Amino acid sequence: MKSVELFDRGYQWIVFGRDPNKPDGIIDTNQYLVKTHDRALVLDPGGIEIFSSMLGSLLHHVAVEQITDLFASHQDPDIISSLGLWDQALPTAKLHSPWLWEGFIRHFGLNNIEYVPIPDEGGVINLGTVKLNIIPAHYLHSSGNFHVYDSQARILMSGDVGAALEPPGADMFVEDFDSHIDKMQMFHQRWMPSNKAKNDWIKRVRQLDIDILAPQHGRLFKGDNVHRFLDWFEALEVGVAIQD
Amino acid sequence: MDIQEPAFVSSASVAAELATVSQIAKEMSISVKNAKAIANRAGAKARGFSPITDFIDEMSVETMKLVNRINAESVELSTIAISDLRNQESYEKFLEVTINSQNSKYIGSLEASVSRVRNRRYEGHVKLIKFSKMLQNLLDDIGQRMAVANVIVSNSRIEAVNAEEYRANLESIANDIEASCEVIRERVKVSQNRLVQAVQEWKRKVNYEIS
Repeated sequence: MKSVELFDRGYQWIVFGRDPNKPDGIIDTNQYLVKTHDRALVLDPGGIEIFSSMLGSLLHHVAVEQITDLFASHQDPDIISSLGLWDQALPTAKLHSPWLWEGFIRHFGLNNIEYVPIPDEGGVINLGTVKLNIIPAHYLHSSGNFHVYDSQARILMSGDVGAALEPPGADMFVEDFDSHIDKMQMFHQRWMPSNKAKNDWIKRVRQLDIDILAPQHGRLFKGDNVHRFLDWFEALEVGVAIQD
Repeated sequence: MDIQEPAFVSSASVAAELATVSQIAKEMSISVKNAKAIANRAGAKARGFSPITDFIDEMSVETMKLVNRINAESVELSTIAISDLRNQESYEKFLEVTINSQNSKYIGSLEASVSRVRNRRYEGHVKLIKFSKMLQNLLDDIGQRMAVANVIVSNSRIEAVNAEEYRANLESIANDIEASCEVIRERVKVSQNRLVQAVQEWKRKVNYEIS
C-alpha cells in the first residue's frame, strides 16, 4: 500500500491508499495516520479486505502498542468493517465514532476496544500533545457523520466529501481541478442526500483554515483546490435520485 | 468431493436437529396419554398397561427437558465456535502481515498480538472440545432412554394381547411410540455425528497448535 507524508512538524500525518493488492471489485480507500511521539490515531482504518495490507503499512511507521486511538467517520463497511481484527490487535485502544452508530458498529466485533461515542455537536480527540477537532458532517453522506480537523497541520479529513471514483493507481493529489470534476460529480450527487446538510457543512468548513482537504476515496485537495472544491460543491445539486 | 462442514455450522445444526426431537417427544407424550385413557377404559383387561404408559409419559417429558437444555448448550457452543472463527481470521491476518511485511520497522511489535490470539485460540479449542463432550453425553442420555423405551414398548405389546377389544388400539399406539423412538434415535445420531465432526476439527487444530 502506498503511503505519503502530508505533514511533519513535531508530529506526522500520513495517508495510505492505492493498494495494489486490493481485491478487484471493492472501492479503493484512503486511510490516515496521525502520529505523535508516543501515540497514534488511525482515521477510517478501512474494511476487512485491506486489513493485512493496512496493518503491514502502518508497521513501517508506528509500533502496534503506540496505536491508541481509532476514528470511524461513520458506519460503512469500507470505513470500519475491519474493527473485529483491530479489536484483536489493539485491545486497549479507543474507537471514536458517532454515538448514533454505536449499536450498529458493534456488529463488526468489539470485545476489547473502548467505544467512545461522539455527540452530535462533535468534540475533540486528545492525543496528548496534539488535539484534533471533530467536525459534524451529518447526512454527508451518513446520518451520523464526522470529519476531523487539525488546526496546526491545517488538514481536514473529510470522509466521503471530496471523494472521487478513479481507476487504480491514481495520483494522491488533484492537479487539474476541472478535469477531476467528472470523477467526483456522480459520487456527490448520488451519495449525498441533502442540500441543506451540504450547505450547512460548507458554511462551517469555510471558517476553518484548510491547506489539505483529505477525503476517504480518491485524490486529496491542496491549497487553492480546496476552495475550488468548496465552491463547486456549494453549487452542486445533491440527492438527485429523487425526482420532483 | 466431500466438503467438510465448518464446525460452527455443525454445532448450530445440533439445535436444528433437536427441534424435531422435541416435537416428536411432545407427540409421543400425547400418544401415551391416549394409551392411558384406553387402558383405563379397558380396566382389568389392560391392568399391566398403565405402569408402562406412566413410564413412557414421564420419559417423554424428561426427553423434552433434556432437548431444551441441549438446545441452549448447542447455541452457546456455536457462539464459542464463531468466536473461534474470528480468532482464527485475526491469527491468519496477523501471520500474513508478519510474512509480507518483514521489512517493516515495527514488525516485531506485532508479536504480542500474534501470541495473544494464538493463546486465545488454544483456550477456545480446549473449551469447545470439553463443551462438545458434555453435549455428547447429554445426547447419549437421550439415546439410552429411547433404547429403554423400545424394550418397554415391546412389553406393552404383550400386555395389549390381553386387552381383547382394546388390543388393536393399544397396539397401534405402541407402534406409534416405537416409530417415534426410532426417529428420535436417528436425529440424536445425526447430532452426535455432527458433534464428532466438529470435535475432530477442533482436536486437529489443538494438535496443530501444540506442535
